[in-house]
Amino acid sequence: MNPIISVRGLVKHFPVRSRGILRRQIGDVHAVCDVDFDIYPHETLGLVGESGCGKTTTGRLLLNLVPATAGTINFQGRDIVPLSRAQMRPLRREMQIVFQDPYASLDPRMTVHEVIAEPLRIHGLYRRETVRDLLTTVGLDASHGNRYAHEFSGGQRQRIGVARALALRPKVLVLDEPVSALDVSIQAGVVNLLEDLQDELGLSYLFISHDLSVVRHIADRVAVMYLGRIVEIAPVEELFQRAAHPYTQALISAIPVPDPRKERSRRRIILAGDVPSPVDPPSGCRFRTRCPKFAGQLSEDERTKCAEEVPALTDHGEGHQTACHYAEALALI
Amino acid sequence: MSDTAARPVTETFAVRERKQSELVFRRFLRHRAAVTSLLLFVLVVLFAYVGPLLWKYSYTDITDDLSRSPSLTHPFGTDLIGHDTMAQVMRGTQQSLKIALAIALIGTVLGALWGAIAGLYRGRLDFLMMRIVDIVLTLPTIAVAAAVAAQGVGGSQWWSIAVILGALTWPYVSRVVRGVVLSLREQEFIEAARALGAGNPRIILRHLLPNALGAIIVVATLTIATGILGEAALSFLGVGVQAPDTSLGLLVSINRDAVNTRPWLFYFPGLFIILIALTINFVGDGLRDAFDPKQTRVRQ
Amino acid sequence: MTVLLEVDDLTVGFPTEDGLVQAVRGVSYQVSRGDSVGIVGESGSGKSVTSLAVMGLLPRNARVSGSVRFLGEELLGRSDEQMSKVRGSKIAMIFQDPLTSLNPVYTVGSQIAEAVRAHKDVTRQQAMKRAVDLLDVVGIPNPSLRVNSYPHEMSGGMRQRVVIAIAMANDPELIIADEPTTALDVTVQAQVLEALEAARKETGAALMLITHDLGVIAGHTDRVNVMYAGKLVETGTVDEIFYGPRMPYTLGLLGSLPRIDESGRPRLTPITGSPPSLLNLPAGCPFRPRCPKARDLCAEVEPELTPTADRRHLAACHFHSELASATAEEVFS
Ligand SMILES: Nc1ncnc2c1ncn2[C@@H]1O[C@H](COP(=O)(O)OP(=O)(O)OP(=O)(O)O)[C@@H](O)[C@H]1O
Ligand SMILES: Nc1ncnc2c1ncn2[C@@H]1O[C@H](COP(=O)(O)OP(=O)(O)OP(=O)(O)O)[C@@H](O)[C@H]1O
Ligand SMILES: [Mg+2]
Ligand SMILES: [Mg+2]
Repeated sequence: MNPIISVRGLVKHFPVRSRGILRRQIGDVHAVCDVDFDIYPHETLGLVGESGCGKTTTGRLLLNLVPATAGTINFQGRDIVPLSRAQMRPLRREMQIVFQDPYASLDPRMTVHEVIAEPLRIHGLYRRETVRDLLTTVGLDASHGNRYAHEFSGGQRQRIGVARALALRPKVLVLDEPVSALDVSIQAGVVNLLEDLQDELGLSYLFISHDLSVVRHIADRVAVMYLGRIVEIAPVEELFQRAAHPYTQALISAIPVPDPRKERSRRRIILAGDVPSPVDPPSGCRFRTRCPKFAGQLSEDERTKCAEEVPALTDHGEGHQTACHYAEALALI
Repeated sequence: MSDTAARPVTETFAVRERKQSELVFRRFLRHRAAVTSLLLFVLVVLFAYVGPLLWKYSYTDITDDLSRSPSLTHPFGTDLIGHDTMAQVMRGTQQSLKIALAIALIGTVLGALWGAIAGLYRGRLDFLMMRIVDIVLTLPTIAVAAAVAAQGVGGSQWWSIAVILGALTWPYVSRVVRGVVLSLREQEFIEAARALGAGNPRIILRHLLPNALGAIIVVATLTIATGILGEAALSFLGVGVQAPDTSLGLLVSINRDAVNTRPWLFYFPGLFIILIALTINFVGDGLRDAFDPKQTRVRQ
Repeated sequence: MTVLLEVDDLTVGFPTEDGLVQAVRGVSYQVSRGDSVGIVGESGSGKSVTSLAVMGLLPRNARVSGSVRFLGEELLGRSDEQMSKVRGSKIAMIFQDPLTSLNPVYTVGSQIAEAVRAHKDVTRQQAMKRAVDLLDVVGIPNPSLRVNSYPHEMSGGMRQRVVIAIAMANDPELIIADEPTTALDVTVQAQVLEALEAARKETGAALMLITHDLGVIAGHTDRVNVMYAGKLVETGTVDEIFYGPRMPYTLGLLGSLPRIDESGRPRLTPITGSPPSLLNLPAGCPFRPRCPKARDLCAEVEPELTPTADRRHLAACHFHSELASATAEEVFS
């Protein structure tokens, strides 16, 4: 099968400016660095990683909401990176996004009906019934259209966000931490809704999250990001059973399991230190400053390689790719 | 379809938030000076617009009582020719208010659009637009307005004064609106609109301006006060409203020599100018506090 | 075992423009020396208010009644001055945002040293040396360098560990941690939780851990209190709560969690609806509107905590015996 969207060598640098009136550029935030991935039709690609590793930026780049510094994004046979805002407009019908914050992403001055009608009006497709149908589709009462977003709970607002994104019947949906702001009991309803919608409408998802449990539940394949780079990408079972990158391993081992017996007998890999600044990332492998393997198991020569050579994503079969010179699969659950 | 999607989630949020407008209204009511001012201002408006219907004299009437001091028949006295000053003040207030409102309207619409565009586009366009604002702000407003009005553009119609003054007050509005827009544009719902394919005009008109409405109402109110004073100043200089019509500024102007001999002719219209300017300022203050979400308790 | 903290019928209300918010409605529990007690519940269920009441940190307008005894002494109604003797020394509190408990103008070393000297008669140098040791215990790399850092020079996870070090320096009997890791990434959360465990081991303090993450509860507490709408609705050992919940809310909570330790895609069972308003709670069980098991009795009588199979496993449900071996799927779908 051909991918519906294909990303190659995607780079995004944000300028860092000095304080004061001159505001000279004094460096770059390496938010996204040389990222490659594909999304196939009717597939959910999970994108996980810690705060600031570039997940949201990747999602925005995919929709051309921020201009890429370099790279290509191939969608329906054409590269969308060089397209202008006006050229992008027809493509907006094919690709949509649901934002993380169900409070900030809905205009407080608009009724729910107006919020969902907006994409339809922009593309000249507005019909009253369409909006009502969309409200029902996401499990809300069609008669609630004349209320304002702030009259709804977080989970309901997130459903409104989903309805708005679905209004144009897109093929690809970027979901930027769609359930992170919700209480667990509410979260499950939205997760189920997203799964149902995917089955029904044949959508492809880029599901961004820092919660590996949700990703394991919803994703078909998972990409793990660290400091702007994808360090591992694999089918979901493969990743959770045989994580090969030390960072993925630490990440999986750090997720608490809501099962007392298992949780107490689990092996935990505690990382040292903090994520380095994306303004001045480490040379070679970006993870080496916190890598337990680098610190404890590697010889001097091997470490030199980590410091000097950027590990490329290499395939170990089954579509399991790891960007580590000394990758070794490990079962952690 | 599955159970979750099919079963409507009917209950709304547990602790229902109040509507923004309701909160603003409550906070405004707590601002005593503003509420008192609003009442006074309403009285002034009634006096100007309903008063003439009830009062026995019109501002054009010439009575037989010349230069009378205030009495029951002429509460504000009369002038040299026999005009009833109260009737004249009513008409003057009408004209002054009309002009001030027009100034506020022109200044606000122009300023809000200008500020929203500058704030949304940022970069060079913003820089250029804000330098223009700076230049207009440094102009001596009254002197420029007087100079333009003296050219007799549009005759001495009331609206020509409004246009001239409106064209000089919008920079204040645009600065405020730009500030609000700069923070609004970073909000996620603006990015959401972009992702849906909304263009800049739509973002400005449907998202930025409605969300900046609170700030816009506040500056608009303050612009009315500026307008009242501006009109008064122009008429005082003789380039504003022309006789036989009248305005508060014109009344003060033609009666300024009478300040010692027949003080009522000068003080009554003057009092109304101050009254309007002050009450509007307080109302603006009250609105600003009411719209400020950080404001929990208002000074009493 | 000696009872350290005894909370009895604690009730907290906040008068607001719309009426009295009944944030806590008659909560009773005990913490014994060395215990580790978890409090879970949805956002707004009263977890923080309960622990703030224990510490005497509620806003002035709060209406508090009931009793809070620490080592037999009543804490409610004490003056601020009397309370501050207990706070910090006998009971330490760790908040979600570490910056609230750190002074921005002093180095972290001097803040830890100050706590040390408040309890032990040692010289400044000895106290500083102890500060370095404590930073090492909580897992901060290069502690001898880091003592001279200011709070703003540290990342969120490091600051939280400094707060834990200060708490240890005070040698408290009880540590109350209110969502200490909610704002942090998982790998950093693992570091902080490890530091918390180290602190407990070193001081022998009891722990009251407030969180909405059931995984964290599973791994770090022995007893669990589940809160809903200002009340305890279930209390028992971790095993009882996780393997045999007797309150539909607890069951629903566990069923709505996506699990990192489960492959395949078992459907999540969300709890429909949202928590009730604490303003004018209707009569009966507060969970009734969301409960699939609700019957007429539930609308009339609010259930009290009553013993289930075990004397110390209590549940506030009229029909808890029917839940003896029920699964979330059975009950909620
Ligand atoms: N507009 C911007 N200007 C400058 N830097 C930015 C901008 N947007 C993001 N960054 C930086 O780029 C990096 C990646 O940010 P991004 O928001 O993509 O992270 P994320 O993985 O989504 O994190 P989170 O989990 O916190 O949402 C961060 O270091 C961030 O500070
Ligand atoms: N000062 C206050 N005035 C009025 N209501 C308050 C006040 N403080 C808390 N509340 C209310 O009391 C209830 C319980 O709040 P609390 O902070 O204990 O919740 P929580 O369980 O800690 O939630 P979270 O998980 O979001 O921290 C909430 O409904 C909250 O709105
Ligand atoms: Mg993000
Ligand atoms: Mg809390």
